Amino acid sequence: MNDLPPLRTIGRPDRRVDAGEKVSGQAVYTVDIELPGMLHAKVLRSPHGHARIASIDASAARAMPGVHAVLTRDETAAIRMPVYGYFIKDQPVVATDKVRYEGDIVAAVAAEDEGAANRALAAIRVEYEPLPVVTDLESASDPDAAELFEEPPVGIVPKYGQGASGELRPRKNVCYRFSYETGPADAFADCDHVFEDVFHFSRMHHFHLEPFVCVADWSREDRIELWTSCQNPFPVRKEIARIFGLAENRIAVRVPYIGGGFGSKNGCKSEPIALALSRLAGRPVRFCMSLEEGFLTNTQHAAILKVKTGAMADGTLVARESEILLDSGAYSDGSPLVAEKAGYRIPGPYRYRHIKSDCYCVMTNTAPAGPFRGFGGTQTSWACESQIDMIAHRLGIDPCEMRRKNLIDLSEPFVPGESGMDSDLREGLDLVVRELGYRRRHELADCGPVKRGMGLAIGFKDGGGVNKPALARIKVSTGGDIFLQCGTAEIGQGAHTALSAVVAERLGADRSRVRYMPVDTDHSPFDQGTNASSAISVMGQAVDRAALAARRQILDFAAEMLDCPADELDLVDWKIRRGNEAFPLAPMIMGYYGGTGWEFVGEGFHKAQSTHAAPLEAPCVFWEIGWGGAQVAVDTETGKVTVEKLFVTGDAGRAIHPLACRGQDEGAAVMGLSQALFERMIYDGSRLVNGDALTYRVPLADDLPADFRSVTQEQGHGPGPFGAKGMGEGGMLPVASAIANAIYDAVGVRLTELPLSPERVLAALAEKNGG
Amino acid sequence: MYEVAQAGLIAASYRDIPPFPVIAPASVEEAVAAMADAEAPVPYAGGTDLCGAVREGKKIGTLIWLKRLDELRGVRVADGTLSIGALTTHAGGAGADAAGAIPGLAEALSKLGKMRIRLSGTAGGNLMARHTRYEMSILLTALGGTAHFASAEGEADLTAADIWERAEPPRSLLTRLSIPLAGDLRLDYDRSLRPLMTQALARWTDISGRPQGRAVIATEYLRPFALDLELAGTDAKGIAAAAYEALPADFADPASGNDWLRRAGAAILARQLARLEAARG
Amino acid sequence: MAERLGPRFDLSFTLNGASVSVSTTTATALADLLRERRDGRGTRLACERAVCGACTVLVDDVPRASCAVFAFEVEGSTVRTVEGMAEDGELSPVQAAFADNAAFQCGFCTAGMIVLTEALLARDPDPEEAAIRDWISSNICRCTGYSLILEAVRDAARRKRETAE
Repeated sequence: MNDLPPLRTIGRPDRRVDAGEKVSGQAVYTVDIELPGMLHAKVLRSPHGHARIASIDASAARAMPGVHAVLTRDETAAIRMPVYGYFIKDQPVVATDKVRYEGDIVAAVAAEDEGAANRALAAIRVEYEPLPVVTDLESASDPDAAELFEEPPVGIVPKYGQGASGELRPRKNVCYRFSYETGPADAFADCDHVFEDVFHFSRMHHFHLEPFVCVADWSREDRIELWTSCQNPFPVRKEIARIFGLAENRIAVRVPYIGGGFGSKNGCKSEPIALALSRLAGRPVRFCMSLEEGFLTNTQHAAILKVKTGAMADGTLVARESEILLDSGAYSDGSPLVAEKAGYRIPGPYRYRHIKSDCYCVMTNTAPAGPFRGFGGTQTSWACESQIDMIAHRLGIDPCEMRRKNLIDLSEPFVPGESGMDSDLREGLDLVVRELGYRRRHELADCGPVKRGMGLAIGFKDGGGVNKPALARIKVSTGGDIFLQCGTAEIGQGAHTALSAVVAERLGADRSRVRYMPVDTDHSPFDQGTNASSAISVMGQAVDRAALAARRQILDFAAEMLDCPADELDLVDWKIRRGNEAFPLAPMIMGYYGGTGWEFVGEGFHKAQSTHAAPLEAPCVFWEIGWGGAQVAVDTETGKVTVEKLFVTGDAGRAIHPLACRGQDEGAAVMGLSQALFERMIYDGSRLVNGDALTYRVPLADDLPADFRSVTQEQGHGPGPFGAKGMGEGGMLPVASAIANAIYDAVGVRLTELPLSPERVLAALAEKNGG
Repeated sequence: MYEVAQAGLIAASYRDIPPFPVIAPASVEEAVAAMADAEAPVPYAGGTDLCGAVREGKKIGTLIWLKRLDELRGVRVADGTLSIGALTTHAGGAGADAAGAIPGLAEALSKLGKMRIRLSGTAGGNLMARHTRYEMSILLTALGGTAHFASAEGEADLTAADIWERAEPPRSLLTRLSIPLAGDLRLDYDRSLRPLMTQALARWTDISGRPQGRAVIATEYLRPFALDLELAGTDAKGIAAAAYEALPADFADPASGNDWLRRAGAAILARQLARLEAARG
Repeated sequence: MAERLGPRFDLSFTLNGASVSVSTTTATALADLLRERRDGRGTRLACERAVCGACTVLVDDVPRASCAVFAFEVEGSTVRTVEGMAEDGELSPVQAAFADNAAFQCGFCTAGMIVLTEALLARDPDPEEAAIRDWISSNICRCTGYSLILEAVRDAARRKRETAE
């Protein structure tokens, strides 16, 4: 690593392309969009976790001054298909027969201002017949449990490859099951030991600072213009076309800068309601939720993970079976996709002869869960990396050696039919061990009731999404100004910077010559979405090819003009270089194409080749690994865990923009840290107890460990341009288990439930010491 | 023992509130008059809390803006009493020389909230928000403090504990918090387990020279609970354990159970006792 | 004498060095007043209850969450927002430090963090690490994990001291 050839733009510490706009306050987000005659939408939400709607009377609201449209089930009945969701179309635009969680949307109003809209909502009378609620994952399928959906919603099971399968509604209150199996089940019979452990995973809210917001203009009958804070403009366009029965070329979805998402801004959120209201009112409608409403809109998946692992006495892993219950909340949202990933990733980065996993999306009367940074991998890394440590201790093996012994080798397929591992996993582990001083952990000094320890973990997920196509287009003007058109949204990850850098590198230009064009489905080429750490690994490949295609055209043109083979030519600063000669391109172009000039257009496409041999129908684009280590101090009298050191490292393959890579790893790690120690949504039955900025605790600067560091490895094996891999999720994955492992090292108690609160630590210590 | 608002039936916004008249009195006398005469008066100082309160349903008839009342700012000691003006910001209190009359007080005030809040948030606003997440009431309860109100009817007091049980006198204005400077009164404020648990310990000697102590435990969902200490003997752990026997079995919240609050609270209390003992030299 | 304001009134204050006179209402939050202006959109609103600090501006040099400041409060005051930090069209040392250290990702908290840093460095040109963490803990950043922001604050302090020398 770090012996990669120096490049002109790649890897340099230039400012991000969005730096100037963001530090000066000039950056434009969806919240800043304002249209003439724009109305403001607000919604009425259910106070019941589960209830039948007996009646809705909105007549008083409709008559109120300043009110231009009211949307209830009476209006959505006229919409072509007023439900949405990824695999399963179960979430209504507004509630029809039932409400299924506290916060479910029952009605919406568009009015001259937010105050008028809220006053109108207060005048809507809804009669509910409360029903029993389902909040417990394990008893949700009991015969006497209430049922969220009596009738099956429309849904699909995608095509899976070798060993994988899916099923809709496998049992009551379960909307989806994903299963994967490989290798002989009787492998357990050969094991010296079989360990069964259960892990509980807590639930966070994304807490993106820019709220869910969109501005929808459907004031003209056959034309929708939509500005939205959304990670997936093209899938949202498709969903809107389906819901409202409009052609996709009548719908423009535009995505300005996004003020954070962490997964939540996948798919329809505010958009269908704003559009329906705009159509009714004949005016543009802005629907900006409050931060509190964000908690009621999308969350991470709480989970119970039952893991059974067979191993030999020498620590060799042999077989793993698991059952995962994901708390999907009241609507399926992205849950089936998260189930695929959780079910698939539960083995972790280790070699087994037999793997079997079943992952269930359990419906409960709580807010819908969906994509969240880590996407099932956070849940599985928590269980997997905790259990590896537990097994090592049970077998009397050093946890680091246990991992080293079983890690998949570089280039070895994760499972049959999969792509090979594209990081040297031991190299990353050794780095953590060195940086943390793990081998000297027994020298750590205790201080009275405060005991110290260290722990390691290797977070693991497949990255780059499944079956994800991406298109990019590059235009170069006569003067050498470069237009980069692609659908990847800038959500903070630095995609505009990284993709612009790739183009500049290929075209021999300063990065300042590249402009990343606004994301607009009318003009940007198709992209499946900004998710799965895919910007550089998937879109990056499309952009790279588009840049190379443009470069090829330019060189071919110059070769014709200069009457020489193109391979004698190079492109530098919009001049053609041949040996020591330099030929400015602009006069050449003007001479050939006439006085109006010309644009070279290069297009690029990328999609991992589909193959049934791969369990998810296409091999993984890249493997996203987050290695981590923690040193903790445990106060045995209060249970308080202080993380004194936290070290994380990811493998960027090649760091296109090193500071952006570092920011991704560290931001993810701190999210993992807060989940490990304190951050969680607290439900009391179906009621969210801490759904606001004051009582929901997110990490602040003074929550950082005194020693918090990250290193961006550049192992160079990635599939992206210049060997790059994706970043952004890996740093979160190892943190909770590394801390739990460190707690065990410090005080000999094993916590299997997040967060690792002082209460749980103290209870575990009491149990260990005989109550 | 805790209350949680219903899920956002309607996402209330501060933009929902209709404009209101504002009165900015130049003296406490004028402020008291305004509180008496104005329609539905709401006193307003640092501004860090009202915006959230409005979203939780608080109505503003007339806003009584207290900014000009410099006489309500600052910390003073007189006649054996420490007074904190209702408009004293946390940062102002932490930096006030007079706060030194109670060792530990300035440091406690310097830790309230975060710096942006500390520079604007006031002692009075913090207390009168009656928010279990806020801290002034914890300190005041431990220190045996009193809140003083002025109204057209005259002056009235509420103890720190009363604040949670009773409304302030109608149309009254909080003017100051007072703490009697009992013999060698000291404070130890432990925020190491915030927000799950916060604990303040006050220690003083009574007129016969006997040491007295009061610990106050609070969580982000529960009102502060005061434990009177029996300081005879020197075994801090024993004193703490004995005091914690008075904690009700239902003192628990959605984030923490009673057993942990009891055990961790007693452990923290023992350390606080030791720290205060050490500080006394 | 007690001063009285009707529900609608004329407000005058100094915004980023320029005099502003507007007609507004008593219920208007400073944040909304700023955001209605073309040159005030850089102040961002997130939690709208004075917790997250995304909307932090300086009112007479005190950092305040502008969602929790009524517009009437700034009568006669000096208000500085992120738009007013640049000097002669150049990014301020704090802005430049945030830009050079990639101390932002989505950018939604950035204006508030920059304003907060300006306030810190105006009070303490050479802050200790503990003071930096204490101050930056006033506001929420969900993206960066804070480490790069803390570096930017240290870097900004260095730059300001060097400029002052």
